[in-house]
Amino acid sequence: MSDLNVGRTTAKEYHRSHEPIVWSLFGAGGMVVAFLMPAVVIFIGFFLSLGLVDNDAVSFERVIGFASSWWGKCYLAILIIPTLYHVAHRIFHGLHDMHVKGPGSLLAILFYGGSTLLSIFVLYLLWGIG
Amino acid sequence: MNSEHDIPNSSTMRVEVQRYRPELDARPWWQAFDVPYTNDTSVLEALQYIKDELDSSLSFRWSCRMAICGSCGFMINGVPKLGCKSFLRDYGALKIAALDNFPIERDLVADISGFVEKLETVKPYLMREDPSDLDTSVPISRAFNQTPQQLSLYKQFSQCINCGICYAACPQFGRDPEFLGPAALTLAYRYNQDSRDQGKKDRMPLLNAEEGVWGCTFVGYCSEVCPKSVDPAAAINQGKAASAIDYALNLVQLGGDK
Amino acid sequence: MNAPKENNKTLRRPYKVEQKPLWWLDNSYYFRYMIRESTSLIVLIYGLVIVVGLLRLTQGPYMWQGWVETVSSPLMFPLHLLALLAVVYHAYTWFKLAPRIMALRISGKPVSDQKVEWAHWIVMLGVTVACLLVASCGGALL
Repeated sequence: MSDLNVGRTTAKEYHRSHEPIVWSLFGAGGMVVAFLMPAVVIFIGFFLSLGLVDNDAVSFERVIGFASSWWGKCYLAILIIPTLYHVAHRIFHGLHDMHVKGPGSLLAILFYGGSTLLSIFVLYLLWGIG
Repeated sequence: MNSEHDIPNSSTMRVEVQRYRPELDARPWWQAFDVPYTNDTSVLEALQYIKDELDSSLSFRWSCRMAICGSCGFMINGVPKLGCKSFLRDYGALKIAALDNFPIERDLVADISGFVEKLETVKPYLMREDPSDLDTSVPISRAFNQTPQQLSLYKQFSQCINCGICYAACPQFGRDPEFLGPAALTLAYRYNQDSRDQGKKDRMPLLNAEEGVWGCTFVGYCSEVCPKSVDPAAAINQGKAASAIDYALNLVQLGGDK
Repeated sequence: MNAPKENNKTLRRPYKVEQKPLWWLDNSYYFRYMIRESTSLIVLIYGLVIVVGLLRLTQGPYMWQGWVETVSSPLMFPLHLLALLAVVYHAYTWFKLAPRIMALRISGKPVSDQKVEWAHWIVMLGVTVACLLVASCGGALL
């Protein structure tokens, strides 16, 4: 790629970034937070907290029935897992923006690794239901 | 000092200009001038008045006076703008400084050589692969027709005048000067989108890099301040989608760059 | 950055300004960007609350009831309010940016960003109403 470096005193090499992996997960999570999260927050935070719905709506039997069905499992996995990557990505880049640096890739491992571990935990919990 | 809307009846304005004379000053400092103005006095004309009538040592870059050469970009009250496209009538007081995020060469002159180098890096010209087009011993004799639809895929992104204002508005470039930045990445995307071009594979390695599209976090201020409404943030983020596809294709060995 | 070959005779002494860590306080556009990015902090807390809820669900009716009572207690209300503001602001910014990334075309003609943005809002409202209906009175519907 020497011809890319006309005028440069030292050759600058460009390496493929692995950002597309986390960016795609971030994007999926952004969609989930925008489309699905408002209903979740309104339901738990307002309908439930303010007593606008019958307590039977969140009875153990009903919720475990929902979480046991394949579509219930799909919904919960889609709701939680991309969201975890979305927030990890944004906090990681936000810290970079604020000049917060960890040694080496520590912050990346912490955030993306953390959301991966939590995602595996969520899948494990869903697997165990029903 | 006058507040923004308290314009005095006498038509002079307090204009503060950032000075930096490398042979004399350790750091930039502010110098104030009172500049007479009328309804159509531009910031560039105010600077020219200062240089002609008040202090001839002031340095700034300018050329066309009509927002096409891209030379007179300054920080005007903290916002990167073209001096020729900004008017004193819209301000109560003025503070003019060199464009942010570039080294200051002298006074209002930013050293944009790194930016110009980045423009070169992305190969901003039509490249052909067909052997018949590569024979330089004969002039190209055929036409490369383009439909209005094909033109519309890149037209907006080709309006760039290389003024560097988007770089002054980009905190990621301010953070890391190696980031190729809004204008260069937009130009790369503009040629990739051109139906007459066959050089995409030479530009993708640049887009794919951390210093390429992935250095952008879609702050979006570049598009807000662009004097030609190019929307570089859109070009870069469409470039991210293209780079992500390239990444996936490369992963399954169907193409893409190494 | 790479200046031209260093020349001892040069009088050039370009002045470099380092970016401050708090650059985003300098300008309201940057500040709104940071607010957009910070919505993720609240969404993170809310996500963890949901993960804990899932864990409690697997631990049986007693633990589940405890989680339900905790999240619907008045002490948690500020978090819910903050979370609603955060997700709606996130959606507002997301729907503004999404059309510019997609650059949608229908039979070759570009669709205006506003139309795509509004389409996002309509889908979001539809999904929200549907989810709330199913969650509130799903027994009767399903």
